[in-house]
Amino acid sequence: VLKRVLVANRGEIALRVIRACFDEGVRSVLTVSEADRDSLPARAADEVVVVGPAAAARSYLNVGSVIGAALLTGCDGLHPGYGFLSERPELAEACERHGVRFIGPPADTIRRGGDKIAARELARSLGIPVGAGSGSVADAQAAAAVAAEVGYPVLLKAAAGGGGRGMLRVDAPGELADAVGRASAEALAAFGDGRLYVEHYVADARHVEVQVLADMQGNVVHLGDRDCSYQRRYQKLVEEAPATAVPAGLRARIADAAVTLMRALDYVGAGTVEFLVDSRAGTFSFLEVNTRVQVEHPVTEMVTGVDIVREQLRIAAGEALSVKQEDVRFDGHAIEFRVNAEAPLDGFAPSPGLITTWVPPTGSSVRTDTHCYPGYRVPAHYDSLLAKLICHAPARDEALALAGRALDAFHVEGVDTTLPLHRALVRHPDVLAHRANTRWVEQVFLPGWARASQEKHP
Amino acid sequence: VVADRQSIERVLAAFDQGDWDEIHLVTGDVELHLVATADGTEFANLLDKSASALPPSGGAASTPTAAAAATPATGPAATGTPTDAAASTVPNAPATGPVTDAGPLTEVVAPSPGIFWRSPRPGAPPFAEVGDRVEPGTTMCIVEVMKLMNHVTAQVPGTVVEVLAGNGEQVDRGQPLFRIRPEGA
Repeated sequence: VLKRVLVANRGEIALRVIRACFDEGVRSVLTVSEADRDSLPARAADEVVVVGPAAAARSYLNVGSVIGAALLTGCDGLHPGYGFLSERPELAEACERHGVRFIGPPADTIRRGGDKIAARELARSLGIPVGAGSGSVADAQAAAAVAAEVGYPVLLKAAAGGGGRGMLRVDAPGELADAVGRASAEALAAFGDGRLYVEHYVADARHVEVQVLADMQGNVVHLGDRDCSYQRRYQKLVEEAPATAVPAGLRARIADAAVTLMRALDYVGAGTVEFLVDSRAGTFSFLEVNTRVQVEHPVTEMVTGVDIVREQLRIAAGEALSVKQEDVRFDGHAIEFRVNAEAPLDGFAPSPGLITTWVPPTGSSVRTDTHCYPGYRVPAHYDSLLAKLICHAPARDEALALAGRALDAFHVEGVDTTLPLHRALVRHPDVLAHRANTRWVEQVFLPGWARASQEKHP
Repeated sequence: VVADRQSIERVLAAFDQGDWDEIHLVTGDVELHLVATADGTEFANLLDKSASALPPSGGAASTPTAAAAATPATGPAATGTPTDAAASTVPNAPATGPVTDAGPLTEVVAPSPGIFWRSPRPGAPPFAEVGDRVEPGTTMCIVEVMKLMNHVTAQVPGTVVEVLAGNGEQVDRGQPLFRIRPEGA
């Protein structure tokens, strides 16, 4: 059993991990930058270590300070949350070297799963469909050859990528050379690795991912799927579980593929396998593995009743999974909305600053994961996620209706948020009819909503 | 406070083994600042307000010294504070463009709140120095807000006469960042 866990993150996920530690009877030590000394998670943690200045590169992303904080405070475990160092094999290695349990998979698994090209090859070798495309392409000429073969439009993706960085859609051969240069430069800047690969772009696709848990005893179970098709610039806005828009037979095959892949990776902990589902063709293809807890994990928790973060803590302590596959039951439907400090009608301009009013909705099936409070100053240094609103109901239409009421009751002043977007989205006929694909938000919803908003408030 | 002598020694040992530039930790009464300098030597700075857990001096390659909590000058910390007087001359910058007329000089102002970066990445030369000639569209700096890197450009041809904010400093929307003497002024 772990005694003292370093929570190496900030924001809502830091608070989420601190609460899981509390539930498990584990002491929590939180790393904070100088900008986060007075944050809500800093107040909730048992102890706090300042690991550097506001700039994340010198605090939350400084492996030395983070591992040093664990050693200084005598932690026997380290939870990296998501983002920051969560998928850096160097941190997992440093933990191993210094006798701290990394709450996640081994460094080698992070490396094999995180390299998108290697993961694609592994999936292919296991008989899991991968999208038409390439291994690493050396230059624009090689990319052009692959693109001609798989057909335009294509997506250029970073081998080391994630979060849409180094990712570009190319519609015609004439745009390819320039795009390869830009995507490679962006990938190099973001990940220190400019390698790219090329994939055929599926126009009418859903993003479906499978939550997996694996322990050190070799048990691997999945907690079902999530549909994360509501995206803007490859950033998820709304996620739901289960992925009921996809036929049941296809979903079962996708879940099997996820478990097969995670077994082959010798996976330990909580992880996700992402797929693209071609709704018209009734086919799926492997996208990537995420070797961490994800932002949207609560929707799975709501429909399965499994506390994913507590499972992570137990797995890292060497305990067996608390659930077997046949025990996993799915109850109803859950939807999550990401409330970001952005002005959706002003090009999603980031909106840091002082929160003057903060009233999240309440209710027995309404969950808000957040680190915000009235009087909190949202720093400009970090990402814009303020809160996740999660609504759970027996059926999808009921969950949407509940979400509509909960979103209306969520009052925030002082900073711009994506709440107005969600209030409109949750009532859109395409959402009610479960018709959206990954391009719907950008191509259908946002233009229509912007027009309607302008007519209302010219 | 859990940071005892043994745990401080573990951090020192880890720093010696690792290839990190800096470890800076503050918890309870203990502040520990380790810096690897360019010539390979290491600088250690320990402040223990309880004065009961000092590590032995001369341990390994590190030389921990009980000293004041002042940050060593090796770190690229931001210097200077924003000039409120300058900011107050343009309380409401026009949302349409980052240029405000200030007599014969033109100011380049922050398009949004954020972090002011003078160079494209740490260690790289600044986009613009005093004395540099700039054209409309010349990148002057980056204002980083919530992981978005906004390149701020000059709007008029001219010469940079003053840099008004420190690298890494938090700036407000409309805050002047540079003064430019326009061509012919």
